[in-house]
Amino acid sequence: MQLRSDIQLSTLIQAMTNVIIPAIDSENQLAQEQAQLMVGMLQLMSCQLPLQYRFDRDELTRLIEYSEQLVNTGSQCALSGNVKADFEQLAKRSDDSQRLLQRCDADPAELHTAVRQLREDISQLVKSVSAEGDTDLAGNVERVVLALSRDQLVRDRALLVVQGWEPDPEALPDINELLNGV
Amino acid sequence: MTDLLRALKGSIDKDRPSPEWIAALRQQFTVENSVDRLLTRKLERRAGPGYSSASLKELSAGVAALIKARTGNDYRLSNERWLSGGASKIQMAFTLDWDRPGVGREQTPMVLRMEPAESIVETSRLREFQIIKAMDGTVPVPPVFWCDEDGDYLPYPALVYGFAEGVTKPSSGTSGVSGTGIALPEEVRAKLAPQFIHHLAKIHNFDYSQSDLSAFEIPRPGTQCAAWGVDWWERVWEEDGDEEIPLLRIAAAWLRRNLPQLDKPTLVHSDYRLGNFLFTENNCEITALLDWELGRIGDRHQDLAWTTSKAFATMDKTGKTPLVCSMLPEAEFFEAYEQASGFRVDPKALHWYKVYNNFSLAILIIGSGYRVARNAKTHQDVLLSWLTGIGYMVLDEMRSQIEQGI
Repeated sequence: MQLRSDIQLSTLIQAMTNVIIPAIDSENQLAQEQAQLMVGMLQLMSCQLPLQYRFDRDELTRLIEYSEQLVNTGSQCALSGNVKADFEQLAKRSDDSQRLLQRCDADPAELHTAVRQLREDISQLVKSVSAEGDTDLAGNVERVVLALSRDQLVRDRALLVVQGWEPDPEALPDINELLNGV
Repeated sequence: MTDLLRALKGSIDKDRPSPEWIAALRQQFTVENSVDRLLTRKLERRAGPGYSSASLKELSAGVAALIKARTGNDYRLSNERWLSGGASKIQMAFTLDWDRPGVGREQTPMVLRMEPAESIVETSRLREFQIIKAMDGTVPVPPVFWCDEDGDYLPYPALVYGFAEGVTKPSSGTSGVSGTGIALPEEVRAKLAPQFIHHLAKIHNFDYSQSDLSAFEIPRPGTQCAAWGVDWWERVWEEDGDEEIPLLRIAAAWLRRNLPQLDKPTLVHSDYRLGNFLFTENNCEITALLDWELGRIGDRHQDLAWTTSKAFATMDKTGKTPLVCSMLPEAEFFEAYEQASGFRVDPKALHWYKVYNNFSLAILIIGSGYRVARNAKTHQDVLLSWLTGIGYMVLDEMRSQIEQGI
């Protein structure tokens, strides 16, 4: 997907800075201030978004570590009532979070790089086979890539349906349903 | 891919093109000379500065210098103002008080149409100038006055043409950005459709042999025209595309395997659709056909496939039948075109050009739009970024067209 947050944010900041803010009435202090805040917030988003996943993973790591320390402190005492229940709840949540963290091993940037590399390698293969391969092989490669494209493009379109390009948006499956299996 | 292009893979920085990479691209893809020149110029300038917004005063001074060089000192510019519209060019309206040849003293409303630092669609102002001049008197076009082909007087290459009266959509109608999704009321459709088809037939029947179209090459009968087209847009994808799209490579191979035979080279507008002509609201008369920048001498089916694209269609009142450019059903459109032009519509060539048009449109929207916006090369980068989203619908339509053709 080419339309990602990096290009969206950089062009929004540029439009705000070069076109919109210069056109705002200089006497309208509230509009001037809020326009500048919008640029600041967009810049903050463009810094935060690439780090957000790592930031959350890092925080969860720390919370698990300290939760385990807390659970250890409780294990040395005789507990009862609400205190006992809350220690047990924390221990369970900490174990669940540890298992979740193990599933979040890769960074989103690594995932995106892998997507781009596979797209590139498949494209390169198509070019080579079209130029040098035999007709049967080219036909088979074409069928597989068309099927891949069909499956991917319905997701691309569903993700972008809110833009309003689709003549019949109801005909597209919901993007949440399409991503359910992941 | 040539060995040279493949050998360079991995060391290519598309934002800072190397001379070796540019040379390899030029060697790999065969296009018209003027197309090669403008694509090469685009890459040579890419690493340079982004778009720098010029003030009305600066543009006015540039226009004045251009007019002075072409006509002398007896003129005065006034009423300069920005015009919106279009995703690819910067437009300034103004009034020129001058001694117009053959007319006398006149206050002529004019428009400056200038490229940004790099455009979503890189085209030649000279080709645009020549084709509009050639069509003047055959179909309604705005009068075109001067061309600053290499940006000698203005910050970037530009054209000056006469201001044409009219609207691109009814003031009461609805539309999306950049002229897409315009829905015409029924009474407007009925009046516009016959003119729309008549003018297209006139373009395709135009005898260009006596016109100065020196920036164009005439393809030989056979497959050269179609092959030039595929090479043009695959080269643009190599130059501009960021994230690879395997389907585009499948499409390029399919297009090359199925090149249609050109029976008669005709003038082709290449962006003939609702939103690219002006009409008067009071009597619905088409007053000017606009946006000739992608015009070429080629195959009429390119226009027919483009005009009938779903991207420019709206549904009829039953919600079941798509209307070509919000005017009439496709079958009626082709029947009327064949009658008006005397040309036959070849379904195979039409199908090929539908795939070709979606191929070029997807490349332009997803590849060039992204590259230009990423490098902050235009005044409308946020629009180009927004438009990227339509590319996936275009790709899916192309995929389905390729599957139909297998």
